[in-house]
Amino acid sequence: MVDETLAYPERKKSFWQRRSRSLQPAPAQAREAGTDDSAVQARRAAVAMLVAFALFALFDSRGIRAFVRDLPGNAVTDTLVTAADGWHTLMQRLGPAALAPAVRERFDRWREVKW
Amino acid sequence: MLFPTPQFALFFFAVFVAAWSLRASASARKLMLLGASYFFYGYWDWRFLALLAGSSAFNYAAGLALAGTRGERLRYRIMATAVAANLGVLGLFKYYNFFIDSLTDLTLALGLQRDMPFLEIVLPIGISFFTFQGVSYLVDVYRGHIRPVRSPVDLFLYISFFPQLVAGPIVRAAHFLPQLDKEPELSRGAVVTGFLLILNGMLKKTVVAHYLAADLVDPVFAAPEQASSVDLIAAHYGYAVQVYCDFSAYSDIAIGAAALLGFRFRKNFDRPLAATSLTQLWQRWHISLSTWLRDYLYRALRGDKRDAGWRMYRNIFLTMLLGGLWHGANWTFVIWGAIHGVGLGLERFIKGRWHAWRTARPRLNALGAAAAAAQPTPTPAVALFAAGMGWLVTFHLFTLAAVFFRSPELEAAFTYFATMFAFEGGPRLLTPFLFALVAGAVAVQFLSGNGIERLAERARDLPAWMLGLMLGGGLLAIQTIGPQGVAPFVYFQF
Repeated sequence: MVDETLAYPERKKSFWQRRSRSLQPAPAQAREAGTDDSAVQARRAAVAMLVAFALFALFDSRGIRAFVRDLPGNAVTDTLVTAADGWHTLMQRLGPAALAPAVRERFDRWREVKW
Repeated sequence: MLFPTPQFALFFFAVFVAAWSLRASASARKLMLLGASYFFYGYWDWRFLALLAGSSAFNYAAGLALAGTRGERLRYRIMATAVAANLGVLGLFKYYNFFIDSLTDLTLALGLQRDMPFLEIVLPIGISFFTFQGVSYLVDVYRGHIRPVRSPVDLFLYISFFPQLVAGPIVRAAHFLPQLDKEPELSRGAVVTGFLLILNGMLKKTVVAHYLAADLVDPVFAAPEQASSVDLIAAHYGYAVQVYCDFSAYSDIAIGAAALLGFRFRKNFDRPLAATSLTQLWQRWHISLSTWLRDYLYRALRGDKRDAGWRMYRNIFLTMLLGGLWHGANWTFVIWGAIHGVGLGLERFIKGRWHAWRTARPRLNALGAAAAAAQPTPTPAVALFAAGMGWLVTFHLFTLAAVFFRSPELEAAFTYFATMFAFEGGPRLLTPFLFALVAGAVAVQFLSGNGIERLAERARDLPAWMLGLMLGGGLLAIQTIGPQGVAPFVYFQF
């Protein structure tokens, strides 16, 4: 009897099935390296959160400015407000700050469509 | 501190880094999490920190007293007194104003006008949920299901752990406390599941629940007599979806945040709007609260006696009635609870009769066993039809009862129904977008229950930067299309 599993060459895995080329070592390698998978995964999650913060800094500079302006006033927050204003101006000049209002405008137009 | 805010994002990131940095030292990690939880709660109103700490200290002492007592009668008295004290504090905050108002009305009616002691009592956020956790701890210690906690830090953290402190899920001590002493673990799948749950919760709260509330439910319920029938019909469906999305969103974010910190919480909502019976609905709706009511209220009413006959129906009814009354001292909540109590009792009665009829029929038949074997099993089409009818009845009972739940007073609810069933007027507030939100949210309930887990399994090997793009992109999209500012969660008021 022919082993049918040998009759088919291994199919190329789709994007979602492929193993990532993550910089983090795989669990077994991590253990060999003297650390364990939970610590690796915690670092992975922390990096992911930092990337998410960076995305917000790029595309939601208006929100950051509003958040900083709401903080209680003191010397530190005054500096933060100046920095947030400068950052928002830069993002407006470079373009990312314009994306969210444009998407929002289209969304609102679609949201207000009547029957 | 609300979940969908930059404050919480920064707070959570700091706690996350600190918690995993302190992973090797369980006691330092617990102290840090306790401090973070008290900071989280005190951010709203620091004055209520004393209440949270007092409740935890009282339950800690009561647990030790239960452990140190041998006589069954005395143990029962300690447990009953401690539970009564917990519920007394909850009742004081929830019902004081109602009792004073009622007493004033009564004295006026009797011509005995008196100046009542007026106190503007503010309901501390999350008081119901941390009280329920305290009660479950005491009853479990009394029943011998768990040992009393020796470390005060453990119990204080159990009562105040920030992801579930304000609106649940109600975590049981037997499930939570063992996790404190184990070294926390974070798998690849847990990271992705945590992020997906947070994204899902944010989408449900800031997009679905918000727009349904702001554009349809709130304006219609504010003046039902001025709304058209179509808008009233849409708003009563919309409110059921809004409450589901709002309440389950908090649980999703809480479970996701806890997962990222290395804690495992059980699922709290399991597609309740697709339930085909009321029993099933309550097994899927805020599972930790439903099981709490079953284990600590229904079982207390039942006692040691066999659960059958009229006692069973009475206990089901009383459990739902008290569950309704817990939401507030208002007839609307009483009627809401009564509708569910009667519905559940009726469902049990009909199911019991149907089962008795089906099992008795072969015995009455002269052919006996042969007839039993020949008894027709429902075809898939019949089973599907029965499930469809069950869903239709259950869903509408839930949405119609929700009108009482949402209305400020009984008269407003009756006006709502009268105007709705007049069948006059077309859509004024209902837009295709709002219709899509309601229909989409209900349709999603019929998909597989483990969609997030399956998606997490597929994305578990994504590199950190791609995971960050997924999380940040998702949150950014939700933030962009969401409202300016965030409304508090519906269940904060309970």
